[in-house]
Amino acid sequence: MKIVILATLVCAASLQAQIAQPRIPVADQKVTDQQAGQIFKALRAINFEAKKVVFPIYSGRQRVAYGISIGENRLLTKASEVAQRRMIFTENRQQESLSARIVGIYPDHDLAVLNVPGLQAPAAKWADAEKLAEGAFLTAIRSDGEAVAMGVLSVRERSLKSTDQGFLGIEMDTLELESGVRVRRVVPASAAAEVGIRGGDVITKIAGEEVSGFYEVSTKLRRLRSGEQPEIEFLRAGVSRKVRPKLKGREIEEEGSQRLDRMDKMSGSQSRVRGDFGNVIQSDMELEASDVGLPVVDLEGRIVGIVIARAGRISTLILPGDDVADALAGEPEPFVAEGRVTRRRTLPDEARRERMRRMTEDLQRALRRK
Amino acid sequence: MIKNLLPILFLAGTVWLPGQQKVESLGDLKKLQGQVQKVVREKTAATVSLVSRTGASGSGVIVSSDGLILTAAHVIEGSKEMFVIFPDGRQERAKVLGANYTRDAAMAQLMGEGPWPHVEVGDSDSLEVGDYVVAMGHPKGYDPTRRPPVRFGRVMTKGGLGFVTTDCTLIGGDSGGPLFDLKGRVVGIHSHIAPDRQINNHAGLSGFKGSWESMVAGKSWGVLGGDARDPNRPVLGLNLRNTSGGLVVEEVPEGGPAFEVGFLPGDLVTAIAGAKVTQVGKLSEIFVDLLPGQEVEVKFTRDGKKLSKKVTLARLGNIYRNQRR
Repeated sequence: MKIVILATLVCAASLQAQIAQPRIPVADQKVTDQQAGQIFKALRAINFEAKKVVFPIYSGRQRVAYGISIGENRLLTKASEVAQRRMIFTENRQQESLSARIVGIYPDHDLAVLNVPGLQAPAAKWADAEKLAEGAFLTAIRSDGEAVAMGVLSVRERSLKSTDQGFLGIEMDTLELESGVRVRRVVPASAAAEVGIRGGDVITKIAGEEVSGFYEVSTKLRRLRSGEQPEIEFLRAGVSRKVRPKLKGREIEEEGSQRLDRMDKMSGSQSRVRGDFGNVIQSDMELEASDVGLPVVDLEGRIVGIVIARAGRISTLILPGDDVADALAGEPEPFVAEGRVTRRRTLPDEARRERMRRMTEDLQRALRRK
Repeated sequence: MIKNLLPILFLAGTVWLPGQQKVESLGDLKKLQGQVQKVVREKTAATVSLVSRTGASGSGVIVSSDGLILTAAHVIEGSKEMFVIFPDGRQERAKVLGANYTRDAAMAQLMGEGPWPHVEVGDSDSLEVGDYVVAMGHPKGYDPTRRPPVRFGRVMTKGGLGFVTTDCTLIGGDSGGPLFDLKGRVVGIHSHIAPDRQINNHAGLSGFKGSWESMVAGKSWGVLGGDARDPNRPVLGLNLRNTSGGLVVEEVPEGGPAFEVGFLPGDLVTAIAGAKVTQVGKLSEIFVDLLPGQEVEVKFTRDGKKLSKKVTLARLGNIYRNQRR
């Protein structure tokens, strides 16, 4: 069986050692499966509100996402999972197919609003996720009231947009660790350049706090937002100076790692759009890309967010409920279908699906009789 | 993270195994949540990122106020010194100590004064399948926009050489990071994964304990995952065979340490280095923490008499260099 050493970003090629790989013995699997059963049974106590508002979204015979009712026969779902699909529909609680049409999008959040005539579902009540602490239990509830997965809040709300992070525009030596950090070079037209920081200057304080080392400086700066103006103290020719640069957003692309990509890929499906969100929480809930759009519920039964992306082995991204409510307070942008997504005649397809369902039901009934 | 296996809901009975914390109601879940959050609140500060001079990065956890760091052997490989980055961005230096590669266990020592935030060391032998655990680390390397992401799960199984398997999902960069029990004691160090998200492997802390002194002393030995042909492997110079009566000496290679102290074919070996032995296949569990040059006591029976001898372990390569490989 293939195994992967969890090493590190750069040096790992030689470390793919052949460690005897445990499989989970049947007896152990039985214990943990049974335990999971108990947990999910206990979780049923909190699913009442969420299950009323969540609906599966299909394209053809494939479920591609879930949608959450926002009232007035409308569903909210992940835009990039449905925008390119033809023939999207949902199913109400009577298992009747209802066709859905995209009527608007919120591009900043990758959300789409679907119009579903005849849906008649209550609107979700969104709760904020700000008060949730790291380690809080989260669960994603589907239409039948079962939790699809349970996990914890791994990382609190943050922006994944590098352009939101403070960028001073200095190059530093990553291997030095003295008190203060020497500037090797200043990026032209950056915040540092604007206030006259030069190569050879030694940054000693950021916002009043002493700094030493590349990682300390970059942490301090990236935890500030672009537009902020921290006081920066530096030494030049033995003289201390203070400046207040207006930080810009980071335009630097992080270098990806093929090794890490492989680890994510081998561990299940991922959403195509899974980065660059302005404010998300991260959970270790184990979902698939087709589970986006599920309501995320805390142990109080509050809908604290919507699953907005499956982003790799350890990460499910959730758009906080209060952010959803804020977005919904404004009008969505009109949706313009791209490419060949056209309105074919929907009726024959609907009829065919209906016939398929009846055939399946007949078959099942026949089997049951035997 | 725990996956819902729906069909099993209806098949499983409701028998609880001893030791496992019971979660049957929402109240139980809330109690469990409180325990997890407490671990996160109190232990995050000691969960550090370790970065080599080449920029490779893993994780580690501080276990003493004077700054002893536990990590994975493959994280420190090739480094004498590493940068330590704390969750708040503070950057320090650590000296790499020793490593037991077979167990993927290693140590480093913070160079500064301290006192450092640290966690209590637990043990992995007492872990049972189903026990709840919390994993932290720095997945994909140190990221200033967040603290170490929290992963929650259970012990799925226990493997050889003290490795523990959980469903706390891990990825590159997590290696060397801590696995905690619900009391916040570190019970494992993240090591390797399989494609199956339920298989995330940690070097168990009980395994660390056996080689603790040698690692503190800066010794490095072993091969990731173990290798019977490793020429640096410690050996007694006894060829043993499984029999119904125990481990019988079949051959005593000339020039080996057992030969020097007078072992003979036919001796029945009962204990090595204080551990009872019954199977050749399990001897690696004893030798994994030992080094050539160390003296061990070997208990054996000869002609019905219980005897014991001190043997200084040799390097495999030194004994068998002239013989068949």
